[in-house]
Amino acid sequence: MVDRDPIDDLRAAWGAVTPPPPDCDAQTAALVDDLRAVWNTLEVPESSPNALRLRLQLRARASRLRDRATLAAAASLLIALVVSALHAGSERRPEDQLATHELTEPAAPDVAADPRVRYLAPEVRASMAQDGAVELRHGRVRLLLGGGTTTTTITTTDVQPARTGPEGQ
Amino acid sequence: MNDQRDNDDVLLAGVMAGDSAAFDAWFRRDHPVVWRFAYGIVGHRSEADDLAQDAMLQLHDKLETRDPSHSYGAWRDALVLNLCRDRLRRRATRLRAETGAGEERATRSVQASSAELERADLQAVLARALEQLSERERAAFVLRELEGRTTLHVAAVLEIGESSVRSLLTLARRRLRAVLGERFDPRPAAAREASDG
Repeated sequence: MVDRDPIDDLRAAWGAVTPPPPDCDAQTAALVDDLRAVWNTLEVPESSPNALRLRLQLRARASRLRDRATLAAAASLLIALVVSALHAGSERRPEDQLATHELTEPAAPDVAADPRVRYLAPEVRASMAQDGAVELRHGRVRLLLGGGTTTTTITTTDVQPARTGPEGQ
Repeated sequence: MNDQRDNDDVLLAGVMAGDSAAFDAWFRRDHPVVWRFAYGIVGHRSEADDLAQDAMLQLHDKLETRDPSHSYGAWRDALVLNLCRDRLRRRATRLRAETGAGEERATRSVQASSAELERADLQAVLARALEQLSERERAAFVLRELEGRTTLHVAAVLEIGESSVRSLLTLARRRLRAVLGERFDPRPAAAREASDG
């Protein structure tokens, strides 16, 4: 014996459901006819396609103006950001720009060629301590700080340490 | 049906291509249809004016994103119906705010007074009668019974089955019958008097 799926019963019952028949009585049909007759007397107000055309044009113009204003505001913001970044960059202490090589006497060619050291006179005597401080003992050194925006010139004439880096700028 | 669709496609292609003559023809053909449907739903001429303008603008905007495999008429009417629903919702919110009570849609009898009928203001009576229907009943009744669309069209607009449309129509007719009763007689006063003796 095969079990009958109760869902099949539900499905069969559902299939037997029919929507209510439309009201076909004469009075209701006459009422609907009357309503339709009144509806057909409805006068739609005159409207010209030019009104819509004008509205579309005005909207397009407003949109263009809005786009331009947005673009101008974005450009201003970008310029402000760039100027601000440049300004901040000039004030930043570029410690990584300092020559941190231990210098020998005279300056080793690889140190002199280091792009972070723009000018290193051959007579400079310098050394670097364990904590990274650079001690200048003799000579004149010019370190270019901050990506070329700030130049610091340090002159020493003695073996006494004149400046220590990176703090001593 | 296919001829209608082909005509729609040609006309709408012209509108989208910026053809001025096609734009005029499309507007002159659709604006009255849109206005009547909007009026049937919201029941106020001034609101129907606004809605028809907004609907034409939106239809124009969305023509390019329309799925051409579906009926343009059903798509248009669905868009109009959505705009009307938004408008009715805003109106209901405003009314609630103004009156402080949400007692709209009580099934009150429409008093189609003799004075009103004498003024031949039957359209106002019809609009007030339609207001007594639920929004879906109203949309179905206006489209099917007053505008003469097919049941399939109405089903596509309301996104329901055809049998549901038939049910809505039955309910709408019953409710209108109950609301308008025997008082509704669209004949001019002179004709009524002559027949009444």
